[in-house]
Amino acid sequence: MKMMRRILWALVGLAAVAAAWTVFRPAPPAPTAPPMMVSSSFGGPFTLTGSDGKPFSSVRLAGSPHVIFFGFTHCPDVCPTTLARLTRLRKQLGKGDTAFSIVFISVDPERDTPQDMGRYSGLFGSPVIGLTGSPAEIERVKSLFGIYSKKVGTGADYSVDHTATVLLYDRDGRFDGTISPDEPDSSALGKLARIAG
Amino acid sequence: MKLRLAPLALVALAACHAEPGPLTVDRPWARATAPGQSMAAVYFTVHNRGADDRLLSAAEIGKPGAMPASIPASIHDSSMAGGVMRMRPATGGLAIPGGDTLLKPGGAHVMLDGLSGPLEPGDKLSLVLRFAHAGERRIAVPVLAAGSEGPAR
Repeated sequence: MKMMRRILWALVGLAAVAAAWTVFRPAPPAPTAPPMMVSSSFGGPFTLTGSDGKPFSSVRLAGSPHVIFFGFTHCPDVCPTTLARLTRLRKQLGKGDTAFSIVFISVDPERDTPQDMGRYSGLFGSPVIGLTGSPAEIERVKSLFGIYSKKVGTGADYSVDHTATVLLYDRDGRFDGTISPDEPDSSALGKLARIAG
Repeated sequence: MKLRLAPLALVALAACHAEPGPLTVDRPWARATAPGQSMAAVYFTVHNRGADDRLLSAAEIGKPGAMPASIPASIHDSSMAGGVMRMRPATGGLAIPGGDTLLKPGGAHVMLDGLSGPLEPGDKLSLVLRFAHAGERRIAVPVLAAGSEGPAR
């Protein structure tokens, strides 16, 4: 009888271990390739630093459609190209600069100061909100928005690989799609017209 | 004075109207930059009516008295994969097959790294491009407003 009880308790113990393992087993290894943006919603509330050096809360974007682009000021090609394109498309919409806000967030907080962001954003003759922050704050916002970036190269002149997709938000702050750098203007303009309403 | 200059002027005119070789470069442009920006991109189109060639290097010719004497220049290529943009040095140069090769935003470009001050619309940069077969080509690059997307057609 005692033997039977011991065996039964041993089986209970085994069952408990098995149950614990299914709950607490290690997570699968993290992917090493940059993640494709497959989530159906990106974003969330954040506070970063505006080009005036003061905190900028995402609450200020509420009530107005906006597009968000992540880049850096040591980027000579893709970033000015994208901002030039967005400011031009906004003009083409013909609803003025308030049709939607253009937000430019740095993926290079170690180099990009608020002043750098302000000066770069001011290049396009049309309002661009330039934001930077501490490395930790930027990492958090990148995760919120599903953005990948990686420093490349050594020395002071490093480049940063980064998601170059523009994220679109309607006036209620709902994620409303993306614009890709290689997307034709006709398609991009349609998407912007939709969020501008 | 005027008489002595005349033959020189004729020679200069003749040089300007010399028959272009099989490889020519046109429509160069660069975007204006903000104070504090150290890098800029230069774009242009190469028309190659000859054999396949290769753009090996680019150099900026500083204005007399410029400090530094010239801005370091190198050929880079932007490319996108999975929504992520990457910019890499084009080690080994850039293939210039027969036909037109466009160095344009989002793709290959000459990168200037080490600007000592902002590029302003209206400025002009002088660059020397070195091709494996066609040799050197000098180009005068106008700086356009940052919102530009190319020189006027």
